[in-house]
Amino acid sequence: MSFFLRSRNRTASLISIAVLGAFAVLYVHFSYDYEPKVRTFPLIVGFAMIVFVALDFISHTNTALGRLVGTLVGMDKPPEGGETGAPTASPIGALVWIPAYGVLVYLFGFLATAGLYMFISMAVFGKSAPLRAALWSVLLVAVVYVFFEVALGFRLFQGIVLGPLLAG
Amino acid sequence: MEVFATFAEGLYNLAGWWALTLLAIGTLIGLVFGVVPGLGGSAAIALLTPITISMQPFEAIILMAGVMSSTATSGAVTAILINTPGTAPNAATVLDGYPLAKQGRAGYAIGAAATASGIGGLLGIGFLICVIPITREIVLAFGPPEFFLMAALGLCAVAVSTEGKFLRGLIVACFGLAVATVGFDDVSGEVRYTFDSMYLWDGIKLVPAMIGLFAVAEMIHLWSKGGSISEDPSNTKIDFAQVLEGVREAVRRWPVVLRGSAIGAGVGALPGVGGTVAAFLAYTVAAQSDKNRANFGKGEIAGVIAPESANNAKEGGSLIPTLAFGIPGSAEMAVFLGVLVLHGLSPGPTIMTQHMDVVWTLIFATVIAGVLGMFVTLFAASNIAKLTLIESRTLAPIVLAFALIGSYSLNNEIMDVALTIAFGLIGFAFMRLGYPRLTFPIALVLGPIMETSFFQSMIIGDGSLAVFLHSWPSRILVALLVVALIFPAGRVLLKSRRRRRPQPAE
Repeated sequence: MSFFLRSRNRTASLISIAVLGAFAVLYVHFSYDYEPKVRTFPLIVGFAMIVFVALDFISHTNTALGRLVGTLVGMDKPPEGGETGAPTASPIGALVWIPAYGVLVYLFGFLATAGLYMFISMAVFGKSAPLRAALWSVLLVAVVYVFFEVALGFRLFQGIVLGPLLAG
Repeated sequence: MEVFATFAEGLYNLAGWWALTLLAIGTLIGLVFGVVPGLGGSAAIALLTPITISMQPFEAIILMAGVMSSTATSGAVTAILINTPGTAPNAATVLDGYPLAKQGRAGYAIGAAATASGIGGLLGIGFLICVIPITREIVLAFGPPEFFLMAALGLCAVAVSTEGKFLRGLIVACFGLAVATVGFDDVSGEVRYTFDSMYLWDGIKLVPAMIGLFAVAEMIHLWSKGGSISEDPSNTKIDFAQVLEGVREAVRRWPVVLRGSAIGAGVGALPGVGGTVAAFLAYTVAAQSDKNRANFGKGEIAGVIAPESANNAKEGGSLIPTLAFGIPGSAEMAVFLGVLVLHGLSPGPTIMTQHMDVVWTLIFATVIAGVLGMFVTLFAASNIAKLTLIESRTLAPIVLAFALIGSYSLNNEIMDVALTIAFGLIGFAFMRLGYPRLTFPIALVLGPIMETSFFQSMIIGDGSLAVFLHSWPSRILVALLVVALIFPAGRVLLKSRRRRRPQPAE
């Protein structure tokens, strides 16, 4: 018999408990760097979080205590289904996709990245023809430029690579 | 006299063409965001917030009122046509709306839903107007201990509302409170948890974090899922004669609308309980009290009218804790509080005593937007529904571009973009692993209020926790807090006892 309850995404769930537990412990640890007056509230929050994370961990164990805690704290439904319940096809790819967007914005600015991502998303990952994707990319860049730079007067970040080139 | 002056000023703020244009834009944006499942009002408000920086506070509020009062209305269109609720509270509408659509009566259901939604919104605001004078008195009687307890109660109530995820709701709430302590501390004047980063001195900024948590996280989810919400264009066709028939039916069934609105406004006023509970409660009450109760679930129009009137009426109710106590009852309200703060308006007692004109502007704007949203939905439901045919791989880069540029344009700070991306990943992880995101923004907003009230309470009570039991409001709030904490256990025990009870033979 397994120590942990069998459930979908069990490993991911346990990892999330470990990460949040580590966060809570570190938060309490760093709170002690401050004067008593300054750390009172953070310590209440930190210790409460440690207790809740511990209870969450216990509720995942296949023990009498685990089942009791799971019942009492309202874990009567398996939490691993996700908020919207819909399965996602490639979460790892999506997780890489977003930070990469940030890096590209930093290097080449918003306009170039928005156009590039629009094209890649439609032509490579979607079902669109390259020409259609290119047209949508140009349209998005034009709308973003007109809306933010012309209408609202914002100065969009041009990136540390493209910015100096455009300025020069 | 002061009431009339603020009332008139609130009305005056809406009188110009620019204000009405903003309201119309907000309403249209709300309708569009209401159609896409997952996006909803919180993402729309978060995305629009940066654009409001250069606006007057009342203009920003008018724009947001348009968004808030229309997302639920258009969410019903997809619930009825393609069995996919645009926003969570529209889930109850699916039960009878979709069977009606399958019977070829989609227009009838949409007409009834939009009308019930519009009337419900008006009744909800009526409830808010009636309650405002009492709320002001209550707010003025509250001291720091009561505010601390009220904020703690609000957080617990929100965690309780995430059924089956109570514990994880509390974990996310603690995470939010911990994140809220980063940066300059107003109480002690010290800088905390910044790890020598100048950027963190101002704390974790609410709006970039919210854009990440809601808009970016939803786009990661949508993008990784692929496809479009609806694959079949024939699902979006509607007969307009049926729409008018539905309008007449909603008016004819006014007791259902009235009852649903009362439930919506009442439930909305409770922090954290929200529109989904209101809509399902209204549906259940209608199903139990209607003479056609056997038809519920098979295409009964009262099953569409009741939840739709409730979920729009709850907007008026949920503005009560948000404005009066600064305690957001929902994620949407938490982001809206961020807008108020950005424009120098401090929610809570200050807004109820010094900025009543703003409150009135919000009320009038919500009323007009509710009616406008109703008419747009009635006349353009078919076009609204076509939005569900957009490929997620086309939609995601568009929303993402606006989200990240919006986040940057708040302070012209590239680190805000990094913060938004970080919270987008955190939000996506929460979604995947079953942690309710709802408690995070509320904790982030309530964190400073709770810490300041706690500190002031400790000074008043000379360091003794007994200060939280000194007054009757405090004792009542403590009792409610205890009830909120043991409620999930009680609910589960009750369920298991019912399950064990032998069923009578048929």
